[in-house]
Amino acid sequence: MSSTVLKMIGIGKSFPGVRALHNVTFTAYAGEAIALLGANGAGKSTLMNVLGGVIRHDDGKLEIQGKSVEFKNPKDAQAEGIAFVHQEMALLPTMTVMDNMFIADFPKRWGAIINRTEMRNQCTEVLERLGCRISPDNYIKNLGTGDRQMVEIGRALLGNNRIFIFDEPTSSLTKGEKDNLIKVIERLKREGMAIIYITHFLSEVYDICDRVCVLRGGEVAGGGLISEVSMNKLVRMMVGDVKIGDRGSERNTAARKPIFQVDELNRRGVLENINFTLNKGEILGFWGLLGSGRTETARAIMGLDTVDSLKISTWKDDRLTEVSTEFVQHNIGLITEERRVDGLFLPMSVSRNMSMANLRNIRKKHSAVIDRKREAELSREFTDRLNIKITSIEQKVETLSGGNQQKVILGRWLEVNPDILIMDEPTRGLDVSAKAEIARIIVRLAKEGTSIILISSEIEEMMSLCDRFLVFNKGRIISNLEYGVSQEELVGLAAGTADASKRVMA
Amino acid sequence: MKLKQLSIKDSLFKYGFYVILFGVILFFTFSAEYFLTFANINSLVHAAAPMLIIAAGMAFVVFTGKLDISLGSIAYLSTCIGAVLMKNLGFPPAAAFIIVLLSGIVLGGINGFIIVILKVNPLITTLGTLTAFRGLGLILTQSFEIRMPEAVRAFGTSRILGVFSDVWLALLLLILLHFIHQKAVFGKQVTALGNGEEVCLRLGIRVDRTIFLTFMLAGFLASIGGIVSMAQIGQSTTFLGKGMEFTAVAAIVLGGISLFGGEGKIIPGVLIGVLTLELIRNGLNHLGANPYLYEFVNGGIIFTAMSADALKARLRGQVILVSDENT
Repeated sequence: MSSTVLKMIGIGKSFPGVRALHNVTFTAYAGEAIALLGANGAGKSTLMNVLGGVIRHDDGKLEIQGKSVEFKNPKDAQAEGIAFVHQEMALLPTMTVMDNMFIADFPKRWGAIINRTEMRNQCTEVLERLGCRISPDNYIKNLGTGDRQMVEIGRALLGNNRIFIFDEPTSSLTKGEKDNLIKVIERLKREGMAIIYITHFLSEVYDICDRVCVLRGGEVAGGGLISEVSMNKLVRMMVGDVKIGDRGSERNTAARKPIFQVDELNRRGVLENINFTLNKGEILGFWGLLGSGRTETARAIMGLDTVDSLKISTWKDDRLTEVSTEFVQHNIGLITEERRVDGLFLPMSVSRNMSMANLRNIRKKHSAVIDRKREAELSREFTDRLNIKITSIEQKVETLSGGNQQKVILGRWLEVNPDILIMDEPTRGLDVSAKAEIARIIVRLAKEGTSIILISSEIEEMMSLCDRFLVFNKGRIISNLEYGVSQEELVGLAAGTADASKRVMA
Repeated sequence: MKLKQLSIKDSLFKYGFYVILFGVILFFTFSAEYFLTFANINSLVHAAAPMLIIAAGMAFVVFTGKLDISLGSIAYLSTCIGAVLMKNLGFPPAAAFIIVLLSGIVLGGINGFIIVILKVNPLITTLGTLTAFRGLGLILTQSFEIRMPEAVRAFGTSRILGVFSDVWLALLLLILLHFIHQKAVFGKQVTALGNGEEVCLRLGIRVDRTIFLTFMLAGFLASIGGIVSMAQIGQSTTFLGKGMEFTAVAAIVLGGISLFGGEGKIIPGVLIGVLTLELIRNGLNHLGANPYLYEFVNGGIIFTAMSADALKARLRGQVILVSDENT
């Protein structure tokens, strides 16, 4: 019925050591929205980066409206009418809506003076097309997230674009804003645009899209008309039948002894009534989508964000005692998501990095001077125990591989030996063998009695390591599941298919 | 109603600067006898003219979220070049001043080069050139004071319609610069830079080029300010431009231009800021106060205005959050 706007045929792309895309064929039609789905690392971003001219593919070809094209850089892609609406918006808060839309290319008079009449006309026209009631003279800083996104989309509408890529556009929108966005996409479809829609929320796919394409492990796992695919089938396409490594008998299911408890954690608009208990030697998984509240909860516990209410208590001799944030910071280790940014002192040595949380304990007697000999001893002990591959403990951390860097952070906390460790995406960006090694260390720690809160986007890793799961959805804990739950159920709960829970705001 | 509260705070920040200006005028009108006379106000704006021009250049740098603390030294060195050309090589004043303006552009360009190409922090860069440029000027003049020719001295005290000529020049420049800031592509790009260079790069703005041009513009205006100042004094002195960069920063913040970049206007911002400081200096003079008291009061004002700026930036974040929650 409708004409083919975009054809990507047999696309293949390899990075050193990884095959990111293999023989992927993807078609988009005028006046239709196609959903691009897949778990993390399935190849969605790589495929869209190929389409956006950000990276070049090794095999296959691109056709736009039947014409074979080749993109050397993002400009080439833009010239062919491909517009990217990024999740991360590029807006200038102190400037007006109008200025924001035209900043890269103002309509001009006499070469350097802005033609405001022309600009206002075009801007008003675009805002009307979007059904957006904001004035072109509004300052971005006074707008809500939804309106800001409209400005971002408006910018894409200014050019002669035919293909619109939306990368998780609803992750920070409220219900009303989301409905408006859906209307806008409908409108774009009526105007004959081709829409590519990337999301983690499966229910949206049914509201917005006509077709679906699911990627898994860099290959097309399935797809077709959305009316012919059930939600369960979509989930299965995304997850696949991966064999799961299992801790089996090592799992901690024996008599549970609570050691740590969080009550009434609230942060307006982000977290709603979070309560949970952590047991000794347990690996507790925080499962949910990005922005569902899992990382936010960890940060709140560590006192990194201001919250509206929070009570943290520990169990000691069967008595519950409330503790201060300071106590938490001294007694809970946090391994952050962005190890290079938040975790490591890159230009400093392995030894210095590892001693950083333990400086109080390696001082020389009766002085504030650090005992460098003791520091070196401990560093050697833990680099050995964790099998960190270094030439010497004086090697700079920035020269290490990702896996070894992560182990340095682990070593830092092992020196302190806290009762509780929070790990946020500890294996992100690591290769398979490094991942396995980190996983082994996590299991060993739990066996030795450390309680661990594990946050990971990788379902296999979560399934193989965790004793228990708390499922986060839109700022709330919606389920507390024991080990043994099916993958489909976990994915379904996080994506909001199993339970259409009230939207709190991401 | 959270929103309402914030809008009251907002307007306080928006109009607080007028309140200060008005308060200062009121105070001195009643406490100093000849304060609010035409002759006094005329000489007051006359004294403020060089600072108005230099502060306008500083404002452009501040719009991008940076600082140029070498502007006083640029004013000094560029006028030294002119003075030496006139005295030692017999250049006619017009030709010498054209070279002064060119020097201003080149000196600003040197700052721009170090910042954009060598990637040195702007504050460190201009801290270096603050000392280096003044040093060069001192070498050039051998730290002698050079007397200006009669024609130049005449300009310094000439009047048009009763008001000093250099005041007209300063006003004209401010209007032109306000227009550039508000209506020209360059002005918008400068404001955009103050919102974050990373975002600007993603938007396809030529970031490096804009920064470079901004520092050249500031240097150019500093040299004009230097000429005006030199014509007023009638000679090139070793003190010319000294400390002006800091007064300029204070004036700018006082005029509601945020040091975080991206916010504020040339008119009325620079005008209000510079005039408030000059009014205080003039008023204290009239009261026969210890001249060093001005320094102290000036410092207090800078501190207060900067705290207000920081507070405003913190509130800005909150405003966004509140409106997010309400939508």
